[in-house]
Amino acid sequence: MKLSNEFVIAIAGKAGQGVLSMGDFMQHIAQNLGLYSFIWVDYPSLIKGGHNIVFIRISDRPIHAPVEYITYLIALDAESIEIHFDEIINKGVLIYDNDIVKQKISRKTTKKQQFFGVGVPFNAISRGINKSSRYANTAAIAALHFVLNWSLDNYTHIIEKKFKKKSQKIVDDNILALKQAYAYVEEHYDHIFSQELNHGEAEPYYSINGSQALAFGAIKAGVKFTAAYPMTPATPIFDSLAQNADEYGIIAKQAEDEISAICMTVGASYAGARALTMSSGGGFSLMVEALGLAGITETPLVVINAMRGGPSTGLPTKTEQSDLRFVLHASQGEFPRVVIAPGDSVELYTLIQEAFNLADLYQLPVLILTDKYLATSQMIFPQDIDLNAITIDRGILIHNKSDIGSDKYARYLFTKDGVSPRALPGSQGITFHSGSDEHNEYGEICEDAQNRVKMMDKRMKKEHSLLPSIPKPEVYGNTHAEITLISWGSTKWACIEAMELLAKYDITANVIHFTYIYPFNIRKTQPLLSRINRAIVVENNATGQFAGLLKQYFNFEPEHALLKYDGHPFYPDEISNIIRKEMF
Amino acid sequence: MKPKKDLSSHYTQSTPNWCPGCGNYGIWVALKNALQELKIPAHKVVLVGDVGCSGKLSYWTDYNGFAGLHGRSIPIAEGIKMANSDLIVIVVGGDGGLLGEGLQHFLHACRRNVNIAVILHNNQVYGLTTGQTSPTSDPGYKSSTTPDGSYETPLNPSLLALTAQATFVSASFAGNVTHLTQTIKSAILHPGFALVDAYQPCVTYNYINTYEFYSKRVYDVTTTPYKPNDRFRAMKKSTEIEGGKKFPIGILFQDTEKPSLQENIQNRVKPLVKQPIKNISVKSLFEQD
Repeated sequence: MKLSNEFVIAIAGKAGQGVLSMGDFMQHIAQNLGLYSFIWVDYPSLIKGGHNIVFIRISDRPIHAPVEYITYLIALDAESIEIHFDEIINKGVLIYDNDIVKQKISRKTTKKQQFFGVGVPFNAISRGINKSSRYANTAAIAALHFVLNWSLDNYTHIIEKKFKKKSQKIVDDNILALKQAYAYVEEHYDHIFSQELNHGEAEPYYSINGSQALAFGAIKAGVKFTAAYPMTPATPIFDSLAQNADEYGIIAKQAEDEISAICMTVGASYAGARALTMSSGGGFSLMVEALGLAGITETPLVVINAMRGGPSTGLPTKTEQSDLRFVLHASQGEFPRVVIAPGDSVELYTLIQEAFNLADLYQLPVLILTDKYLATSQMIFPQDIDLNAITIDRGILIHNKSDIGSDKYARYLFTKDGVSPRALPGSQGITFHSGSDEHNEYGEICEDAQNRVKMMDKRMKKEHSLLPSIPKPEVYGNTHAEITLISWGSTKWACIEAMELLAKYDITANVIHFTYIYPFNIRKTQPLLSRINRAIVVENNATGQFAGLLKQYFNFEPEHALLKYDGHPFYPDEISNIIRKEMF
Repeated sequence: MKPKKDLSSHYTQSTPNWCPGCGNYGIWVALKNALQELKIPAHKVVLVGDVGCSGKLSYWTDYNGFAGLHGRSIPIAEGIKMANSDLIVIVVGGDGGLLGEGLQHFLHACRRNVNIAVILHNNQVYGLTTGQTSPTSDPGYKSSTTPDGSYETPLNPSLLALTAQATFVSASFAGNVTHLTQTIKSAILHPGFALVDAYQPCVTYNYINTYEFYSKRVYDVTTTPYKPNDRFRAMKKSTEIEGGKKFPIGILFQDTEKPSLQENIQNRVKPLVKQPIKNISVKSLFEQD
């Protein structure tokens, strides 16, 4: 079932065939037409030679989740047809190269579906212009415009904008490919397609992916140092920071490994720069010892774990939420930490800023969980969001000797809330010790039992002191409902759209969405859980890790846990169908 | 060397818990002497300790100290230096941490030419864990983990640093505080990555490489016609230790021309800790295509 007037374009082909940039161009056109867009990417078959697919969901109302169907499939190679054939919706269209696929697919009817085939010799058209397949993708886009009943002008405008810097010849060749392919389709096919979504009244929005949202948020928060080692799907976050490093006065250092990356980050933060490191599960595994170093030295630290399918190398390009328990307990011993899992572009941008504040205010590591799906999906970011809403708070800082009450500065002073005023190395007239050993208030190595207990209590106290800064989870939909979907992190919008779908089946549902995963603000959250009638937890892992936390911290047991660990994100339809089937 | 009037300064009240006679005492004194002679204010210095006997050194001075993780002192030091290039950042670590657990960091810091000094307390054993074989132990060295003696060829720290394009490579001896002080001073002043391979007797576990052993075998390269300006000649020189008969000390190689990491970065980015971070505008990032 569809929620609105919407369709999905899928562009599939081999890596290097321009799949991603075509997706980007179509998104721009949709946006220019006043339509909303949501893009997600998948690499379903790396073994078969780097098969890429980009999905562009276009609608006249805001959309924030992937769906399971394709309306218009552009297959740049034969393999793409084979893989995605079954996903084409009834009355959908397959655009293919009729030189490559000899068998004519004019109007294919199977048991499930009936769709149209539009064959265009994109490669031959391109070769006629450039003696290569370089413009095959542009030729295919021309056929898509014919099918969509969209004017070619939109696309020629984008081509001029994007390629003018490269050369006029590239612009001209692209436009020639576009026109020749369009003429071919006009000659061979009738205008039988009923697509009527040609414009909309979308509120102005930016279209950014999750990695950009995190990077922009970090830049806004004043990140000055970042170090990382390449690992999918965390690398695009680092790339975005590195590309903007000079303009914003940031050092983005690629380290020799993840251990070095986090240790450099701890060093930079100790010295006073807001600092960030990131990786995916495997790289994060290497970081855990230094996470504890930040814990015991009370060094502010922000770490992003962009999760992918595990364990071990697992599914490098697929999504999963299976590192939750791992980050909660990563590193030996006990120390306070905060774990945050944003669920969309705005939350990613906002919550990483909160993460930097919490790290500074309470001098502890803050972990941000995102995943391949969120990191690579291009989401709506409404332009009316105030980009400057979060104020930077660096906590209590001591700048010189006169700020200390006594002769000797106690870096780890016992205080009521566990937070000791922090000096940075280099402060005039102040020196102090920090280290991975247990220490006394002056940071001096100390194994005394009484001091140990006091110092542990001081550190752990911070987890309680910060609770007022931890909000309760957000509720979407009515306060009272038959069914409550519980989401955390990236399952947010699949749940919200599922709730809207359920309403069409006369099932009232609402969503409780958690972004602050640890520590919970139990006092504020408990009332929300108490009024639930029937709950279903939706998470991308095999063991119900978040459901387990609800049991542990709230003694709350959901009626159903919807778990998915096939490497793909949740689709709203999938959730609503399961609820209808399993819970009614 | 003139005796220092204020030799007692820059120690903390707590005293080292190294074994009596440990080579670390000589390195400890030499490091403090070097910093005092260079008149570097204490608050501008950060000593980054590795873990092990030597790594605790920072706790027993009143300079800033950051005692890191075993093998990880170098990347921590690099992060500190990149964030605040006004700080003098010195790594103190042993052969186990710097050449075993953290060898990759050592090599990459060499080629990165990050402006830190690394003092390698090279006692050829894992002392604090009761004398196990280390990456620089001599073949045949017997310990609890190698009861039949080690079969492995020891690493040569100076040669490693030279192959990784370090711009300052030196060796000295904990039993010669005057020489070690001078060497550490040169390392601190060097505009780039600097290694001081400090031969350090472990009086408890290493009965071969003793004060006497080194006293008989070290010689100062400045007393010979040797010039430390040729990397390949320095490599050759550094291999003299491999027979266990001669130990050249002093600066084996120095290149002040190659820009340090700081110089490369400073052209592009203002010192990180001095940048204001309030009111950064990111609107243009959202608007870029």
